[in-house]
Amino acid sequence: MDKDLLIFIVDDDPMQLMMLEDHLSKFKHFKIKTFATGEECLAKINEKPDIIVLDFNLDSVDRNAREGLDILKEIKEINDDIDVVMLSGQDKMEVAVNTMKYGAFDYVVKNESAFVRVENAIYNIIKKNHVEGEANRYKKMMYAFALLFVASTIIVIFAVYLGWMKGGGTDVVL
Amino acid sequence: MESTLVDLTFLENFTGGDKAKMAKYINMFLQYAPNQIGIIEQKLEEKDWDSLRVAAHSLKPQVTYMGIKSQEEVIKSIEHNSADGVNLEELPTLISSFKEGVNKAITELKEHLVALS
Repeated sequence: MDKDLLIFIVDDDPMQLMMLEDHLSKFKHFKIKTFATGEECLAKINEKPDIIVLDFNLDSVDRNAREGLDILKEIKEINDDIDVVMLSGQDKMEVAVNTMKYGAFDYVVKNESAFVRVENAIYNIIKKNHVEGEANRYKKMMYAFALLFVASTIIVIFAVYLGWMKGGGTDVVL
Repeated sequence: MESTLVDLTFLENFTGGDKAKMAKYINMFLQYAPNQIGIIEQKLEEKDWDSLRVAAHSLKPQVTYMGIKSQEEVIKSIEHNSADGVNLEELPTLISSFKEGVNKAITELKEHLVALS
């Protein structure tokens, strides 16, 4: 990994928040910041987190707090490059499908395996971004080669044309 | 010490046997759970099913992490019944049973805390 990853964790359950922070802090390239509400997370979005681990239900403490799905939509509107892993206590297919529809990278159910699953999701995001980065570099390289080819072809044609002009416009042998 | 209601295997594995961390999480649960159960009882009285669902939902993972296995299905039923508005007449019994189970688990957890210190 070239640089540290900034990871935001958003959960209104203080124990879940602390356990996940403790778990992910074991990895030296992860820089973790925690938030109890989606609103607090959005207020810090200008810090450009690489990944946000976002709870689906965020209104257990403050019943007026915005829900995770709503926060997910806003994160994606602000910056679609931020990868979001949704967390939920609900093991329901429709909840998972909804979060994916709005751009979440993965959906993790809060149970004993949740911490390892979040960790795996983060590594899958890193791999995906690495592959995308490689693909972009390859695309740029191919584009540069294509430009070079077109430019050299134009130069050759121009040189041939100049030679032809110098020769009085006749007897050009390629 | 011998446990009958609490299985701390997950917490031990999660913390790598770090006693201070285990104590930290147990203390959080001891503070959080009675408060949440109080909210659940209050919302039951008010027949505010959505708030009851939210309170039950937020307590559910903690019951799992503390290894209170006997209460996992009970809290799921409380959440499910209040969310879907089904078998609401069962809620008082379920909540009372849950409270009793968690209170017994809390007694055991306090003994664990002493053993950890």
